[in-house]
Amino acid sequence: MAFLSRFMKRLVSLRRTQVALLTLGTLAGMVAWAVFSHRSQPKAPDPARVQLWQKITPRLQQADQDGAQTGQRHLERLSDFFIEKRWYARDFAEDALGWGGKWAFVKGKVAGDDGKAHQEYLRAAFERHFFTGRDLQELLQSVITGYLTEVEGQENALLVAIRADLSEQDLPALQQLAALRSDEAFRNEYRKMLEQVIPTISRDMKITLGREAVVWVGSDIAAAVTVRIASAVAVRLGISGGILGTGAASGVATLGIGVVVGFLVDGAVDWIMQRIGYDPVGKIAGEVSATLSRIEQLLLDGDPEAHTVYRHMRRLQDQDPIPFVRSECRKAADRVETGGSLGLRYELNRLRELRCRLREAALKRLILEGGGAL
Amino acid sequence: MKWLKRLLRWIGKRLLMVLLVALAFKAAQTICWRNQVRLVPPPSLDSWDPTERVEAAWEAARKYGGGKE
Repeated sequence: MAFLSRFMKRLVSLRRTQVALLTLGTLAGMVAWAVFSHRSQPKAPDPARVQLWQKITPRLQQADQDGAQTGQRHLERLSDFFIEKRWYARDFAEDALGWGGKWAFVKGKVAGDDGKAHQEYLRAAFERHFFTGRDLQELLQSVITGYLTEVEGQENALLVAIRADLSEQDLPALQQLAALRSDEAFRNEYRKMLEQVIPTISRDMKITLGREAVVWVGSDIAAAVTVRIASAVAVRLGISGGILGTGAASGVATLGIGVVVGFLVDGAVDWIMQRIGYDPVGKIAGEVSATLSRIEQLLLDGDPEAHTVYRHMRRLQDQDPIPFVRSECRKAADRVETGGSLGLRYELNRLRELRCRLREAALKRLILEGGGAL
Repeated sequence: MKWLKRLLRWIGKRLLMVLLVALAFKAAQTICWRNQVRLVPPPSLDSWDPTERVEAAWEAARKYGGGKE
């Protein structure tokens, strides 16, 4: 209070010229601030360009919808693969209960190999009737690569259509754009824009994006996503070596553990049980079918629990009252997102969403600002 | 003012004790979570305790995200 009263007394005792200078200084400061703020504000885009942007917006929305449908279609290939394989469940069960299976079982008991020979026999039967790890890996890669290639094709068609839209317009600023001279030039300019908008999109989506998001090499992305999903599925199925790749042999043997247990019981008594109407082949076929469905579900939709926890963490990332918890939840959720436990559907949707955001930002910059820097 | 000093010292001691007990409790709880001791319930994302929410988030990251921190 003492300071305030001293300040007020001093202010009152100022001479007129001093007051005038003080007022002038304050006014000059306010004007400078207003000028600075005005200059730092982004320049309003040309209304004609805004109109043009609005014209091509439906095309972008349509491209997004097409991308979603394409993803669904490619995912169906994976479902079809498993539907086809389930037809062989009974063949596998008959093979497992056949003379070969019984011989492998007896041989293992005599040699005391802890059931290894029998497991090896079942593994070979599984691979013969269903798939090997490599088959599944190749299928996954083919689904992802096929999807990315088709999305890229759709994007190229979209760019051609947009360029045609832009060329039809009588806008001097746009007509001078070198990018509009040919489809190739337009595509190159678009790629440059993509690279420029990466930092903005990374910041908005709170993710780290590299140049590969622009280059969009399908096989590289497919390989990375396949490894992620395969590792996650292997962990969920309790397969240490991984169901795909090098660990396939041990993987499928472990995968069939329920079948092995079923066989150990059924194999010994099947002929007695058949007499009283028990169907060991049907039981084993059912178990194998259920295992195949579980693998399919994990590959396609991921682990339901992982989805629940992931959504919860994303919610905490935005809504937790404590900043430290918010930041830790964000990091943990990012880790889950890149862990492959959320399934192929999620991965494809994420890739599509990312591409749409990049595409929209790049085209917006290209059309509204004519390729110039912000 | 002597009584005030004594009061402050008394409060300080109690606060320190509470802090030490809380630290020991959290340390023991974290060890149990990391070693998945069944008697102690696993950390929950819905807990009132922020450290438990963070622990639950990282446990989920370890479980579903490849296990690296």
